[in-house]
Amino acid sequence: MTDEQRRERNFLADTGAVLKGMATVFKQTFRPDDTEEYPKVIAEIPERAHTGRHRLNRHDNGLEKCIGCELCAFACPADAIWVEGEDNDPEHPTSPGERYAKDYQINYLRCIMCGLCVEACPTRALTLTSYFEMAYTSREDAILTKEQLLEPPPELGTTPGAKEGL
Amino acid sequence: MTLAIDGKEVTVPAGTLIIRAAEQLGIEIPRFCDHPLLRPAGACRQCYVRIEGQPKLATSCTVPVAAGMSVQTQASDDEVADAQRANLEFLLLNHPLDCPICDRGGECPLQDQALAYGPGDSRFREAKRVFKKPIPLSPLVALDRERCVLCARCTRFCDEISGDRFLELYARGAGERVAIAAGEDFRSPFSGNTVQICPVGALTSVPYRFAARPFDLTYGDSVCPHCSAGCNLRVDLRRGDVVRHLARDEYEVNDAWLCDKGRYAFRFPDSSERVTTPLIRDHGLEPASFGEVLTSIAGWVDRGRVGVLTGGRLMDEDYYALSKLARTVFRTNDLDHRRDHGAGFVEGAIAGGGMPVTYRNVEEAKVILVAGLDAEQEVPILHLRLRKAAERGARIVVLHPRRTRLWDVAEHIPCRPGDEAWLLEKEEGRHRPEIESVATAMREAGDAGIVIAGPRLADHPQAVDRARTFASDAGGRFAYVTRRANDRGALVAGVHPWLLPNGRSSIDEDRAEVESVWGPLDIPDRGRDWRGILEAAANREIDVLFLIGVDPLRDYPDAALARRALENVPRKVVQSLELASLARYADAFLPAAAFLEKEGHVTTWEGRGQRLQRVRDPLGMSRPDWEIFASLALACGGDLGFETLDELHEEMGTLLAPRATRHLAVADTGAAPTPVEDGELLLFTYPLLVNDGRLSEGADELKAALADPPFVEIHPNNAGTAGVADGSDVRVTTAAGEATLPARVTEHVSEGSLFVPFDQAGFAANTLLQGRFSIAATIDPVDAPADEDPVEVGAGGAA
Amino acid sequence: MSVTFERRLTRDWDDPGVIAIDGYRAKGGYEALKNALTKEPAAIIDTVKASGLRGRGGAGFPAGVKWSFVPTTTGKPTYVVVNFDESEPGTCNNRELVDRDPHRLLEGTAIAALAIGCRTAFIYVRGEYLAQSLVLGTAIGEAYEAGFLGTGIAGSDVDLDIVLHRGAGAYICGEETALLNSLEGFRGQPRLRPPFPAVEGLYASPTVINNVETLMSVPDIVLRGPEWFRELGTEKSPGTKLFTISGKVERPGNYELPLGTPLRVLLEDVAGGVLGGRSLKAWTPGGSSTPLLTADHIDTPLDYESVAAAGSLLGTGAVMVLDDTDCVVDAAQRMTRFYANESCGKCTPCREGTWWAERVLGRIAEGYGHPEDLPVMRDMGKHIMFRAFCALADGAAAVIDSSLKHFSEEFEEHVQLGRCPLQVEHEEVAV
Repeated sequence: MTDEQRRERNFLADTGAVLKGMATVFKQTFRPDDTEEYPKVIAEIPERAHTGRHRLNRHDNGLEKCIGCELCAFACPADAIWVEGEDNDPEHPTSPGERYAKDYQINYLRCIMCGLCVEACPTRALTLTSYFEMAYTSREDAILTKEQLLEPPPELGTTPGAKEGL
Repeated sequence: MTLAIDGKEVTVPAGTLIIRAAEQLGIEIPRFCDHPLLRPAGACRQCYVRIEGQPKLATSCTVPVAAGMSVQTQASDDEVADAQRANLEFLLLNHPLDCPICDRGGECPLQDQALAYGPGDSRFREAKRVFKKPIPLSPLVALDRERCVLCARCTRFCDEISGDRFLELYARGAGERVAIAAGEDFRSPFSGNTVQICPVGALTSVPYRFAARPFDLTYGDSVCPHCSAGCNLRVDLRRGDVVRHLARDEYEVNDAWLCDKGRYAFRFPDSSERVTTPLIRDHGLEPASFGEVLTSIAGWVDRGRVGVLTGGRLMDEDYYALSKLARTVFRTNDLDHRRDHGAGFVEGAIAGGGMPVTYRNVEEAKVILVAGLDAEQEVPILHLRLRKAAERGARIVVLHPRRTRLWDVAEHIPCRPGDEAWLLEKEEGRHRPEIESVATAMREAGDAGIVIAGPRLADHPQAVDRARTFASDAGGRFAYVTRRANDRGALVAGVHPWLLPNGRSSIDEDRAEVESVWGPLDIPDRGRDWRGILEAAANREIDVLFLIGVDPLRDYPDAALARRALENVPRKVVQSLELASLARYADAFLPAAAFLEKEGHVTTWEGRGQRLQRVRDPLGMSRPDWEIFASLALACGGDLGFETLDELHEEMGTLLAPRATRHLAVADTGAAPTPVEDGELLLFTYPLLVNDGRLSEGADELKAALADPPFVEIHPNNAGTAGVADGSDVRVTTAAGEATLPARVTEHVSEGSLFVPFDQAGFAANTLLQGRFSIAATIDPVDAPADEDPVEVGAGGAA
Repeated sequence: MSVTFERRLTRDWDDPGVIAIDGYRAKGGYEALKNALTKEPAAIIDTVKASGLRGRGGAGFPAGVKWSFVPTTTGKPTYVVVNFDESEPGTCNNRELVDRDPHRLLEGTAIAALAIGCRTAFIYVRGEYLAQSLVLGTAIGEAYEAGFLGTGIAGSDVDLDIVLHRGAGAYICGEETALLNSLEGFRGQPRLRPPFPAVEGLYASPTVINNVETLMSVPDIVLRGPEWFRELGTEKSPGTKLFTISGKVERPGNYELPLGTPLRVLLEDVAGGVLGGRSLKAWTPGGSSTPLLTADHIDTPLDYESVAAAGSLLGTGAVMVLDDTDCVVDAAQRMTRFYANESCGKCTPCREGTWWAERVLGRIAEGYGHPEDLPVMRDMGKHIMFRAFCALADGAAAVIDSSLKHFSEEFEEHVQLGRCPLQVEHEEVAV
């Protein structure tokens, strides 16, 4: 094959590739948009996708499920959980049994969302929710207290600043 | 004997249990009731093995090995594994599932073995057994019956080891339970051991109850700071604070036991009274840097005469540095760690004498004379060893003015305080009749005969020597036992007015040996002892008084002299964990690190050096004592010659290497019975185990469980003469002072003597003393309205 | 078929006079003791050995052999302890023996004491046997007065004291080492063996522990010789035995029969047959701790070997009869409840196993059983049997094992129907 012929063939091949590329661009340009419009539009999250903030649960009678055993803290590979147990007041128990968690904190600057704490929990007191809006403006804010964790997480998108995309 | 376990051969002595033989092979057989220091029980039935040729499975904790035996464990026999699984299912039937909050959860033999050998699931559908819980057995120990697997370790410990038979199994069948007699308190100074050997969380320590989860803890190996027993312990910290002491197994020292003081008096390093900054007196005591304080002290030392007093609780390294600091920098022999006569002129021989008696010797002895020692109250683990020796058939004789807790296993020869030396002395070549049979037995026992001399003898300048002679005449062993954790280390290091390191005297070739390491010494042959130092201080013959881990107002048997000394010395330098009662007097304070914050060694009463690990960093600016001494030497323009522990050890090694010792010949004045005037009684005192000492600070549960309020013990005959009734208040008068105390009329104390505890809350016995731990006293009844200020009626002492 | 033989243990039962020492001596009482005093201890032991007398307490260990194990050269005292802690459910033969003939026990005890050189013997009486302890107390008083006890018994230079000790009401104290603990004032729990009581028993001294009936057989053996004793019974189980028959029979009571007599004779000829002419369903040969047998075993000769061959144990010879209206589950639960209640609590399989089994059996009897319960029960029996510290648990496991072995359909029916197929009302009693 002469050099001439070789150049001609290369030209044809290159042109074909360019056209193929352009075709892809053209096709994609008119395809429906896949971008999640978060935070303007909040997508549906599968019901059982527990991948977000923790929650401390209560029994139906209002008593806390947490017994302050610290197994979650022990299981935590990131050392994000702080638990301080205390004896229940037999007259006004906080949880069933002898012990309850006097203090319970999770530091979301450390938490890696691995869920080992939930697996470790012997009373199902600690579960994960699907709330993922955990952006904070100070270190203190990133440490959630027991009171905060006992409450259900807010609706997604209602976190201050979320709508604005801050 | 050679046998095979799981096909592996092992040779063990006859009488070894199969489970022990398996341990030697590294084969684990699960067990609960088995404990190497308790007699076999065969109660939990967990340790089944198959012995070839026997139709039934056997429990390996009860069957001794036989030659040629072939044993299969759960690893090689399915039926054994099946039986163990079934047994764990039985054990777990009634065991609550509260592991997540149980103190034992995470370090629980039942939990671990259920995981390793148990069934995964329970087939139990019925309701579990329920008990009221927790049941307080004492302010220190609480019982959670639901968790109990009835292995009887605790009851067997009480029966076989401590002899304080408080715990017993009650009722039978599934209703069987560990209990204590109604209204009784588990008032044993060894109660905490039952918690440690409990294989589940049934017995819990009140001070540790819910204090931490096992996985929260950081820990390190240390040695108990309380007495000279030298128990090996593990210090557990939670977030930097001490939450627990556990005994470590050390069969040469403490077996697996701790006394309750060692176990529960652990809060003093974290006490709110602790001072961790150097202080210097300006207007008041002001915080300052080490540099400032050391420079000031150097200035005082430079211009003045120095005296150094210390207690017996520092480490070997600290004492060595102090000994060198005093001799080479302060150029004085005025330093002392004692508060009595010590062993008198036997001290040199003891200091350089190594380990003539070990715990092992005690355990294997045939005859033991315990003279002047209340072992349970002063060195509790030695007390357990003495009981172990008695259990093995040793004859134990106690020569003591007050009956000790060895009463059920030993013969007691009561004597008046101070008369021990007289009793031990031969009269015209013959032993006195009271002691004759012991002397004979000692002679027959040879080196299986031991004489243990305790602190009561140290109150008399010749008594320890008499005890030593008594032992050597019979060819037996001799040990001098002091109370504080490192009295021996201080003595060996030469924190002593006339002994240099390793028992060397400060004259002749002995001194030359020390000078070859330390350089020429510009010191007199003999310094002042503690009493001389205090007197010199009171007479303004000393300008700077160093108080290293000692509180003269509380520690010496002459409160008035100590106060005069503190008031008259121009400069007082305190180096300790805290100031406490010295806050008024201290001119400079140097913060020392607590035992768990430093690395080094302490020496037991045997003479055994044991290593302490640094479990945590020193709090605040506090530093190990030897470091402070080294810095002070530099500030004074001297140099101790070591900056690191390694350098210090190297130098210590050359001076403290084993050497032949000499018995110093000193003019002997003979040991006469202690003279007392007509109508007078002889008051004596020593500290009880649980007292108001500084190392028991914060140990409230311990004190609630075991501390006695102040009292005076009077023999019934003397009480009758004086018209004193048991439980009534009595005024005790001595030449030094007087005190009103509730009387305990009891035959536990010898006739003609009075006993008061040395340092109980609310009463400092040294206000009644004049330089010795015994003194002539009179008693008068105090007429108080019957219903006012009710006092506890005690039936008798520590027993 | 009927049995005719010369009654031995019970021959003087018709004469209330033998309760007093004069009546007993009039019938030749204490002659055996006098005879024994003329013999060497070894000769007495040899005689008893030759007779083949086996322990009547349950295990059937030859008495003479037991005595010969006692070392005499230890320098320690030796003891004879009479095990009169007769607590096996269904058993009351010792009680009647003592009630009707107390001196024979004292005589037998004295002969045993002579044989092993014992100077103090103990009779451990079941706590509930107040009347019997009074009878024995009186008899001992009479024997002292007549010179058969105390210093120089029967004119010899041998001293012997007998001490009566009442237990506090625990089945486990019939176990010999638990009995020794109880006698010493400790908790009634069995001891580790070895050392066996013959070497280290009461107060760590060599001790022989014998059942009442065993010792009461001894005087005749000494007096009449081993050959006479072997005239009745079988080769390996010679002599006669007092059987207690109770439950669904016409004439329950204690009957003396030669060992080896078939159950059919005891049940039908002696005790008048099953109550109301109903049919035999199950029976225990030796109290509730021996495995249940069924009507198929009615021709089993009642001696140690034959009963063992049939899969049970002769035990104390206490035959308890269940008829076809009795619910086996209910019976098993009642027996197991006894063991759960009487377990000393020392070891795990017995303490927890019997407690669990009793609850599961109760649930099945009430109709709340699960299909999984039956394998669980089988497992329990398997893991209690031969695994516990002493034989008490083996007795408990025997009940579970044998009832499941012979009557598993009945258990299954309970579970399937959710009620008792025989409509037996289950009575729940709190332990």
